[in-house]
Amino acid sequence: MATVAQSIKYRNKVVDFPLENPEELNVPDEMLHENLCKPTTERTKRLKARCRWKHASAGEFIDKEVRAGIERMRLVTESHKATAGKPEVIRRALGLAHLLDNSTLVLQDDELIIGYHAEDPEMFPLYPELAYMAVQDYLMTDYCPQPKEEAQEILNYWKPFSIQAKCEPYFDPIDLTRMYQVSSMEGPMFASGYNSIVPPYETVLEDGLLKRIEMAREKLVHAQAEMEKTPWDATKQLAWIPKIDLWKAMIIADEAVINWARRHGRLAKIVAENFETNSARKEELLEISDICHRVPAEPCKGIKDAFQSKWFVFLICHALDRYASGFAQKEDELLEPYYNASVRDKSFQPMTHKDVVELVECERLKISEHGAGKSRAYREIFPGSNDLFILTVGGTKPGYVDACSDMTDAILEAARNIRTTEPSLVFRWDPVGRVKTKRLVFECIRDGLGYPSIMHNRIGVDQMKFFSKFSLNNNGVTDDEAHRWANVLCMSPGVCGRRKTQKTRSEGGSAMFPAKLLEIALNDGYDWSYSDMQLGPKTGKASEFKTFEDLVEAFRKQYAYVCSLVIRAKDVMRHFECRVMQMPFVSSIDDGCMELGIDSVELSEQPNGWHNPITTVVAANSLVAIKKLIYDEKKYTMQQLLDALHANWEGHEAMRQEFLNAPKWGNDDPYADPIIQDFYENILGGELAKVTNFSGGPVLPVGQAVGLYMEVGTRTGPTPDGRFGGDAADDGGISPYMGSDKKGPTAVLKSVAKVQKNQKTNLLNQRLNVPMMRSVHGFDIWKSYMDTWEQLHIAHVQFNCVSTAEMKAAQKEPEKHQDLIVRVSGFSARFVDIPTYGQNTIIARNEQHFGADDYEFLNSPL
Amino acid sequence: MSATAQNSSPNMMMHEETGTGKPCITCKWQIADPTNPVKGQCTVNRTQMGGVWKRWVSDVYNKTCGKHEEGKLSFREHV
Repeated sequence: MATVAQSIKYRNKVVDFPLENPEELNVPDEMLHENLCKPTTERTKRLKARCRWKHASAGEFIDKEVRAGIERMRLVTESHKATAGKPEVIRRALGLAHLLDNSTLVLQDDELIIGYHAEDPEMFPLYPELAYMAVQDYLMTDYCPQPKEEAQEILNYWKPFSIQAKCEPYFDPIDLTRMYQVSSMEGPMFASGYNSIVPPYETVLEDGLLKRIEMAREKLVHAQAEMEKTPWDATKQLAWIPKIDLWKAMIIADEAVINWARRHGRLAKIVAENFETNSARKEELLEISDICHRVPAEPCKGIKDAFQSKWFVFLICHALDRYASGFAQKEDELLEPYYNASVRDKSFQPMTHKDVVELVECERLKISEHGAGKSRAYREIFPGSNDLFILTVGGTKPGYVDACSDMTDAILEAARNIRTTEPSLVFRWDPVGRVKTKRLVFECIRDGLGYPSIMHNRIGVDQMKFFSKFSLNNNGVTDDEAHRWANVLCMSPGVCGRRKTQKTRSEGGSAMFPAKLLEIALNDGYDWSYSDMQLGPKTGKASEFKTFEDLVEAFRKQYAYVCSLVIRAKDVMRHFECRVMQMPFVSSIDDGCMELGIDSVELSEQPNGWHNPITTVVAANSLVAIKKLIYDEKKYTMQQLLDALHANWEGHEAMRQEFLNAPKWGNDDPYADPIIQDFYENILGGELAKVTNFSGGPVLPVGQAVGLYMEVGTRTGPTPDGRFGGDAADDGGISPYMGSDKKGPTAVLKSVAKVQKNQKTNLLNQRLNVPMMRSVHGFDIWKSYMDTWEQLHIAHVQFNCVSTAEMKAAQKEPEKHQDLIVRVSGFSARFVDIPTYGQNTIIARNEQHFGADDYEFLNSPL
Repeated sequence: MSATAQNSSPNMMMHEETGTGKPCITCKWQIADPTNPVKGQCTVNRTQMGGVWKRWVSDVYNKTCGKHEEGKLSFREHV
């Protein structure tokens, strides 16, 4: 039997909570999620059943068949050797062409969208040109590319040319050691190869690559004419040389991509005409063949064109040219014209709405099967999932006109029906958003997907306008363009469209860990609990700090050190990316790069600097406890606290209880909240905002956690909030620590709403009560919560809606709970693929129950 | 004092022993460093909540301790 929420008395009446679907009464709480998957068609049901998931946990792949392929390494190396002496940007284009001309093609049964990025769908490519350490790590695993000797030879060849080798000489070896261990800050991209990009899909779908080639050719003719003008002026005319090289490289890359797509078309035709016995599938293959011949060469005319063209571009930008995490796009607006052509007007590839939902499900399964050759650090920190694949829907168009459409609904319906951990969705919540679409958002959340994660639309629009002011070429987004944004990865809005999008990760996204930084601030910069080394600058003995402000100042210095170091690491990498890691294909599909003849990793028209403080709330709660018990009440001395921490509280339990019971974040507490607000706004935000990055803009905090709240917890000793050494930290950028928000859901909102200054966004994880959400009042309560959240000007919120009973049942019998999905932090995961301890941290999160006072505050229409 | 050093004799503690027959790289409690393949992390310390209090291993080939055990843990036993 399913649990039903208890009746309550509200506004002088008794309110009951019967289930919205009475049939669910017979479904045990422990098995609810195994009854929610309803693929739209038999095809997507089959595709899901044979999907080759590539989830990782603790740095290892769950499926033992998954392994690294050697083909990409081999082909890019052949090209690199053969093209020595040519301009680097031309070499990059020729490398891509050699890969695309010679790579194995993958065509699988039932697929409507085709294409893969390795020689086998169980495999993923590696990138020796980026981080030699990341590839060396792969060579030491069970999923090493084969033959291993050849892979080692390739790696040895690349080591001196790699981005990592180019960047390392510009850092003190001690700083490198500190960065690489990922205890006080995230490791540098040049040692991991981690990356993210927002491809300007719009130009490919609207123009087609043949037009982009024509544009580059016109630019070349013009440049050549400018070079030949007399009298010669070297101060102006020499500047055409790199532009000429880039436009030539664009043509090489685009022609290679067209040829590669058409190879797929020929393969589909060969299979259809020679091997396929099912007549319906044969027709599908012939249509796929036609599509791959036309796109991405030509503009898309229908929705099938758009999905296929987008997929090819995704593979190039995220996997073949180089690795990039993410699936950033404003997908509903991007596809809406083609949806309208195929479904509404039926002018090309005519189909029904349900057919589009099936296509979206196919795309979701392609992403689920996509393999990411990411480094160990990133195989550790998204436990139970593949990679960060996140797309955005909803929001507004210029003039704050609702951007929700039937395409938005198709994306949400598909996510609800097929139930995959990837891709995650972001919904931009705006008051003008249509209720029909918000209802679908609710259904995804209610069914426990953990997404859509919800972003405040107007905060995002204003943020695009704010960063535009810092544009180095005075060509940041216009007020209209500011409406077209999507999350770059989990949490940070970035512009989408034909130009000005983020092309490489120096623009934002890496992390520093305040809990660890506070730990070392209490120990004069020394890390006694993990690495046994000086981890930061010497900032004084804590026992000699006379005031609370002295401690905060020591923390600030530790924090300032890592802020500048990690952002310097990103910008040094970008310096070298501009010289040896150019992306001529991406440049060819960006209107700005095409117009100006500047490569996409170098051109930055719209700054979007951010960095991620992770474990903030452990540090903040610790500061509150120290201020209260040591400096205000003088109940303990700092030395007593340090002694207790070094003993991991052993022998000091009574003292630990007092620190544990000190006021905590998320309870609308008048003592804790002002201290923590100041910590967010003036220390974390204020210090970071002093930095100027590659793009000339400030860097703002995006507090979040991914799985780092667990990983960093393991590398952080006991903390003054009463936490034991090794225990997890807080699971969101601004979420209360697990189990410490004891005054209900609206007290959490009131606390979080206090933090406004110097922030980009902060992740708020909330866990909602399943019986309430599945009741007849579920949507009305949730919508009133969301409307209040929006009015409080909170940047983000996301929800777990999974019962403890079901999670515990899955721990006992994982094989029976393959469809149980949970929200970990900025991503959703298959619960049974998460390590046991990680599962326990999710179970330990406070499940919010709404009382009459909460409903009153939310003005819920019960 | 490092995490694994508490209440331990010198031989039980992680220590350098060049060419040791029981290097951390073969120990079931060791897991790779997030970045550098010649470094590692010791996971032998388990917390009351079931988590892991890790200790950094600066040289997985030449460090050892008295708790060395050959093997490999399942992902479920890590964090």
